[in-house]
Amino acid sequence: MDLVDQDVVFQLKQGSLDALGLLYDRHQRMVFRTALVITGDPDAAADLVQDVFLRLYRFADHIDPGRPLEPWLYRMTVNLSYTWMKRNRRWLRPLEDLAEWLTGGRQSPHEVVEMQDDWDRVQRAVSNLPFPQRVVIVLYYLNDLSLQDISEILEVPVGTVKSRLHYGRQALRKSLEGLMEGESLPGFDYKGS
Amino acid sequence: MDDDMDLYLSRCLKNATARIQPPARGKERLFRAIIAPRWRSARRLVGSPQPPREFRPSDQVVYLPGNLMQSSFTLSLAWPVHIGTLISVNR
Repeated sequence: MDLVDQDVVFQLKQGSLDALGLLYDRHQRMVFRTALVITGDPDAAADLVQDVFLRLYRFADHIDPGRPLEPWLYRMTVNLSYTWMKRNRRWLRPLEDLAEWLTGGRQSPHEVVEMQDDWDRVQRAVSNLPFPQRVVIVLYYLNDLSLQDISEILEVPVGTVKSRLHYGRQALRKSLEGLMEGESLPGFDYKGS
Repeated sequence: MDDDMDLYLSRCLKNATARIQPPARGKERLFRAIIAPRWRSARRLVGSPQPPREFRPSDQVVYLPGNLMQSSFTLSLAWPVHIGTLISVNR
C-alpha cells in the first residue's frame, strides 16, 4: 500500500533519503511547472526544484507531518521564485533556448516551433503581470487551487487573492486577445465582459 | 463569459507546460547535493581516499603519493605537497 505524504514526511524527519526520493517523485513535476510559469525560465525552474527539495530535506524538522505537504511546497516554490526574479530581473527566455526542453527532442521541427509559439504566447502574457497577480494566476489556473488554499499558501486574506485574480485575469484577457486576433475558441467570446 | 475565460486560461497554461519536461536526472543531482558535502566532511576526518562511486564529485580527481586524494576545489593546505609531484587538475 502506498504511503501517504504524512507518513513519508515522518520518515523524512528521521533523515531518510528514500523518503525524500519518494516525495520528489510525487511532487517535482508540480513544483517545476509552477516555477516555470512564474519565472518563464526552464533552467531556473530546474534549479528551483532542487532548492525546494533541498530545503524540504534540511528543514524537515520544522514541518508538521499532521498537515498536508503541498501548501508548504507551493509556498517554498513561490518564495524562491520571487527571490530568483528579484536577483535576475529576466522576464523572458530566448525562444531558441527552449527547444531542448520540449519533450526531449522527440517532436518534428514543425511541432517544436508550434509548441514554442504556444509557450511564448502564454508566457509573454503571464510574465507581463505584476508578481503578486502572476502567482495567483499560476496557482489558480495551473494548479487548480481554491481561493482559500491560495490564501493560506500566500498568507494573505481571501479578499486579496480575489482582487489579484480579478485584475490578473483582466490583464491576461487583453494580452491574449491581442496575440490571438483572428483565432477563436469554441464558446469563447473575446468581446465578453 | 468568465467561465470561458477560466477554461481557456487553465487549458492554455496546462497544455503549454505539459510539453516542457523537467530535467531527467534531477533526483540524482539532488542526492549528490546532499551526499557529497557529507562525504567530503567524512574524508577529512578519516582520510578515506575513495568516495562511493555513484556519489563521486563530477570534477576530476588527482591521486597524490601516499594514497591521498585532492579535488580541484578542496585542496588542503595542511597536507604536505611536494612541488613537482602535484598534478594540476582541469575542472
